[in-house]
Amino acid sequence: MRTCTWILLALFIVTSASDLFAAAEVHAYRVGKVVTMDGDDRVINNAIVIVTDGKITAVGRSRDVEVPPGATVIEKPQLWLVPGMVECHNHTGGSSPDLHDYIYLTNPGLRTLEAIVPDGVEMERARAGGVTTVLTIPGSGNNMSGFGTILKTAGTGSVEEAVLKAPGSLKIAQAGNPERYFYGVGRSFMNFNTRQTLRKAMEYHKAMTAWEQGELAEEPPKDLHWEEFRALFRRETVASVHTQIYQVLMTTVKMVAGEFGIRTVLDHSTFDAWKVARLVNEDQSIYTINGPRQLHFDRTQRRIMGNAARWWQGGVRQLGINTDSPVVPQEELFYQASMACYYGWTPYEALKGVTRIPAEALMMDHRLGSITVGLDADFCLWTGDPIDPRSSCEMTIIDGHVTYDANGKRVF
Amino acid sequence: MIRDFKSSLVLLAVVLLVTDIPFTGGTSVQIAGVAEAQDPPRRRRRGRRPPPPPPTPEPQEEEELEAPEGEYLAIEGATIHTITGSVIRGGTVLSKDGKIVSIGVDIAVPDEAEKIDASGHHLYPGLVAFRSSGLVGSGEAEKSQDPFALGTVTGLAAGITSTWNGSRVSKLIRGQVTDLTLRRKSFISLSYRSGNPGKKKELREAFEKVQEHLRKVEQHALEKKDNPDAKAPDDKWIRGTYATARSLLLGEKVAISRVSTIFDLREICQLARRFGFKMIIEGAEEAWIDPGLLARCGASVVLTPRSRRDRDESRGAAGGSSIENAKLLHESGVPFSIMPASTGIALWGLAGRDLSHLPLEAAFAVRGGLPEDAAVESITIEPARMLGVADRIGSIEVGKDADFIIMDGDLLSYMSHVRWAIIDGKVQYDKMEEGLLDHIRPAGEDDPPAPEDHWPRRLGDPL
Amino acid sequence: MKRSYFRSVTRFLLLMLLVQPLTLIGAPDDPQRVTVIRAGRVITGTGEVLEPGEVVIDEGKITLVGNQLEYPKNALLIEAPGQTLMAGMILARSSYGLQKLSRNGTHCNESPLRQLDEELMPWEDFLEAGFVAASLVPDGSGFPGHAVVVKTTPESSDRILKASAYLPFNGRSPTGIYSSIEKGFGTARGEIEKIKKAREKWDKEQEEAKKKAEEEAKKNTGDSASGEEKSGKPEDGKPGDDKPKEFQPPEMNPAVIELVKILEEKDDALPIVFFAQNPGLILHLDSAMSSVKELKDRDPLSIFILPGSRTGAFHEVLELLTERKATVLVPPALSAFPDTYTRIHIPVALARSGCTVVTLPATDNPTGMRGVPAKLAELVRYGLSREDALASVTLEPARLLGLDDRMGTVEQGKEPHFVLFDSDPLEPGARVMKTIIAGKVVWDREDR
Repeated sequence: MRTCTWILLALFIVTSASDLFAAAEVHAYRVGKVVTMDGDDRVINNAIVIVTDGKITAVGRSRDVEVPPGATVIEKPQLWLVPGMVECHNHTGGSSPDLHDYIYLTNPGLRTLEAIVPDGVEMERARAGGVTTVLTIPGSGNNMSGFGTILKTAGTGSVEEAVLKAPGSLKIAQAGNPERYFYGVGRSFMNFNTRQTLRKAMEYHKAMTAWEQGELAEEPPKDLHWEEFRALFRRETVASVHTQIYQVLMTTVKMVAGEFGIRTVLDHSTFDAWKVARLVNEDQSIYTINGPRQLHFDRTQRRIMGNAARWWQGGVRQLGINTDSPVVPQEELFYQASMACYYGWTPYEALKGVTRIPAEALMMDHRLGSITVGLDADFCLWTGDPIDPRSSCEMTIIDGHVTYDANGKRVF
Repeated sequence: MIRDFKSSLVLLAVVLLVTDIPFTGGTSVQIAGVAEAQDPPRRRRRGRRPPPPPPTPEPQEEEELEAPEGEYLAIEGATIHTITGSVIRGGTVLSKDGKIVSIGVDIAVPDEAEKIDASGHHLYPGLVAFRSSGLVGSGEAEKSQDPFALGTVTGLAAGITSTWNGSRVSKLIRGQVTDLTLRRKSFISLSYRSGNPGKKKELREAFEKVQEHLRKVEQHALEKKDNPDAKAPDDKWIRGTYATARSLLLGEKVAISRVSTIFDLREICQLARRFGFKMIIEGAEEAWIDPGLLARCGASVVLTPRSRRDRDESRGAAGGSSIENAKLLHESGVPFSIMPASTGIALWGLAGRDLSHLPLEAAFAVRGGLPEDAAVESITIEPARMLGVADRIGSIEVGKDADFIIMDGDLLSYMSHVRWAIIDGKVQYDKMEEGLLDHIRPAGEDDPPAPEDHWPRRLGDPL
Repeated sequence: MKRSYFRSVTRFLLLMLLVQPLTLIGAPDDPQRVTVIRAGRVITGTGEVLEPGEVVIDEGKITLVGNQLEYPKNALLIEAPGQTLMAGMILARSSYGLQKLSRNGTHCNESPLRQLDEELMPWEDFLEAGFVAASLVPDGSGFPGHAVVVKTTPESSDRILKASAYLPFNGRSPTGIYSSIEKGFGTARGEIEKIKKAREKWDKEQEEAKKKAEEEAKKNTGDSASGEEKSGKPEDGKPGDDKPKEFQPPEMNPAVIELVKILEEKDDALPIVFFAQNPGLILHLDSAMSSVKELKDRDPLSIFILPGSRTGAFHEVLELLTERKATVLVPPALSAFPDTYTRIHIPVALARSGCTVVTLPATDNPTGMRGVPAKLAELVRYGLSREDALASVTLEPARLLGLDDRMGTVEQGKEPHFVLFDSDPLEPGARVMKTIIAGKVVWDREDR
């Protein structure tokens, strides 16, 4: 027993020492500008970002931040350092035939995790477009097609290494596609169906919670249909709701967010959905992630409108942008933001709408979305304003590793 | 500063040379070529009014005393991007009866000229979309255009003033069904692609046969000098593919072909070099692999910088599309125009992939390393040249058509809107009048107040 | 003999009427020859409203309009207290109820009556909506035929009001317009040429014949008297002579006779009525017509039909139509700028700027026809005068169809075609109670 302890202790010392001797991997990025996207909305010129073992350990002006001895210094004084973009609505992180399983009108319990392909052209292009994290969710062919997976686009290693969080969100398609499931499916039935499924899931969650708290004598039988919903009802994960025109959006706000108390991300929120901005504002936990449609031709006013701009003008501040890749290629997430600006939004907010806002929407802002000490070192070096199509992403760093370098081969 | 001063001096000199505005007294100089080009566009309008009598030439002295005739438009204060010349800051462009008559700083403008104060704006020639659908009618625009079509308006809002509709090069003029066409049919569609080897062979043989025939025709022309009775070679068989081959071999027509892979590009370039015909390649996604290839056969290219074509893994060689395509072609001296993936304008929601954002497609080429001025050329003068209308449009030069766009910012910026689009010296689109986009940054402000069309309105909400 | 006597009696009676309008004495041996309609209100259409009003009909004509008139005791009385009488409405363009028949190209001689099957024709739908006459147009694109104005009475004798009223021209696409106009007038021009050539040939022949005759006359100059007689005879057109004196033009292609008349600016040339499905087609039509060289400086066409949809940028052509002082047949529904809810009432705008507006039903079916009064009321609400609104379905279509001397108002001397509403026709929910054609009640709601 004692020798055993000693051996263990010795082993511990050896490993610690080897760590000490190898020293932590430290990189210092000296750049022209850092758009931190942090809580203070700091933009720092002539800045240094220190990355230690895949985490950001210091951010500041060059003269304020001391580069630790032995750090590899990357000198890019012409470039902007911008947080890696976060995609809230992606279908290309998995194998494409598995976009969604089309079994029932609601398919609770299914997970895209089983279909994830961590490497490939799609992920490479995503990196080249400055996207470092994606939420791969199933399609909208049925009311509930399963749980999505948040993964990094690094494209190296195993599925386990790529996956950041699973389940990442529950995909609900409120209306506007599941109608095609079968002749006769309409709004009344779809809403009944969604509500019925969520209610069953909630009952399961309540029963399990009761047992955990000792209120039930016997453990209720495990059911894979409902198991993943527990995190949802505990508000530890979110629901990505495919919801478009304003009537449908009202149902989403009232049912998913209100009735079931689920943290809701309004995916799409297109067409004239912006009309109900005031309603969305009443629940401050709701995130509106607009896309892929960026414009709406209002045939009652003969006006071409920007969806994001209209949401913003309606007072919605938790506003982001998505691509619905492959509808819009994943690497063009920034360009969706450019379009939002062409049609009336503002560039800084639009950039925030593809970095910090989606990170917050997915409850991952403690790891992603801004250049803040302690967060994952996921960022990109750009030749300028990242949402200007003329700027290019020169280098993508994920977890402190350079995963894309345009100098070797420019992908996009 | 000094450089600016010098260039404005040069411009002033140019202006003095070419201006034909008589009000300046004795200094006006008439240049025949320019005057001829300034004939007002012929308007066929049926009505009870008799057609206006032809202008009678008046003695020079009298004309100088009278007020100048014609419709003048002066655009003042803009940064003028002439494309083929220098950039003029705070300059004026004056047009008369739809033609540019002078460009420069401090040029004389007649009092009765319509004036547009474009200070703080950027003036470019109207954009040229190499190919389009739904912007002007199909075929002969004069006989198919809906003069009040929304597609024309959205095209103008995107800055496009001329386009090839697949048959003719036409202008995006509204409320008019006459004088739209700039150039009639001039291309021949050619298909020479892998996947149809039989057709390739057939085409090659047709070229050979017609080449042989043309040689005989030449010989016959020589023989005829000595022997007037020499029999001309029979050409009744020259129909269909043979006729195509003949018009290409004689340089009467330009071939247009959609080719993507480097394999197909090599083959068609070989064909073009062997038979020496002019060619425009649409697509050319893999041209970056051997950019000199197209230069060697003298082809022009219509490309989409953002087009996505994944590498054919089975080939094992370089392949697929590249964002650097435009840059590499530019460096090899291959002339090219830029087109977005979609040739139409769609208002159903997806933005930025059609002709509504032609300049931004060019901006993507800049992302791949193309210089900005080349990017602007690729949507103005280059397509004009490739369509054979560069004598009329594509740049701001004296004598050319007064087709402009006035932007509220840099053309390639994602925030810039077209404020005015002008064709033949007439305003065809005015953002603030049109109502389609007037609510977006109307006075340049980024964050306008909430519009009134948001609801639900609750009791107590201000209406 | 008997008839002329009768006619003179009638004339006498009419004269009496004029001299002493308040005393009407019917012939006792002619029972119920006179019809009198006594309505709560009569809108004459000439600016007068009689309340109550009476209309006296005799010999198929309106003989008196007024109130407290005297009429024969045995006159047939149509009592309509509380109802409003006005001139029967006229449908300026319809193909409702006609059998389908597709034609393409130029067939100006074609009549829609070929498509009319009396047995199957739903006349009642016209009558229920208060339409007493309809200008029927044939199906087809290009020049499919001419319009025929008919009475909508179920009784088929004396159906036709006007055998040809106008030439409808349907261009569905710009290209179609150009080719139809080019072909139509091209053929017409060919016919003119043909006749011209035949004439020249005939003239030449005459000349030659004359020369020959003269030569013969010279030859025969010896036998003086008889020779002269002979040569003079053919010129006199002596019966039995082989040679026709008058030039007999060759048969003309009947399909283009009407177009020939337009080219030759004949007085009886029919107007062309163009159905413009979108405003751009009006410009194309202009351009196409100006390519016909004979029509270049003329305006044979100032009648347009606009479609019943609310879309289409018709406000763009207001100026053009105003400049022409065009007659416009328009369904009253054209009421918003395209892609907006912003109101613009094209018919009102046209009427205000001096165009003649003829109202058509929004759709060419019973629902559309029954909806006409309500749509007119809408136009009045948006600024059209009541008189103009009502005239746009009565007097103006009558004028367009060349029937304004016979119908369109309630006036002495005009034909007695009326419609009676249960309230003012522009009141919401106004219903047609009776439709009267040629003095007879042909439709009565009470019989339903």
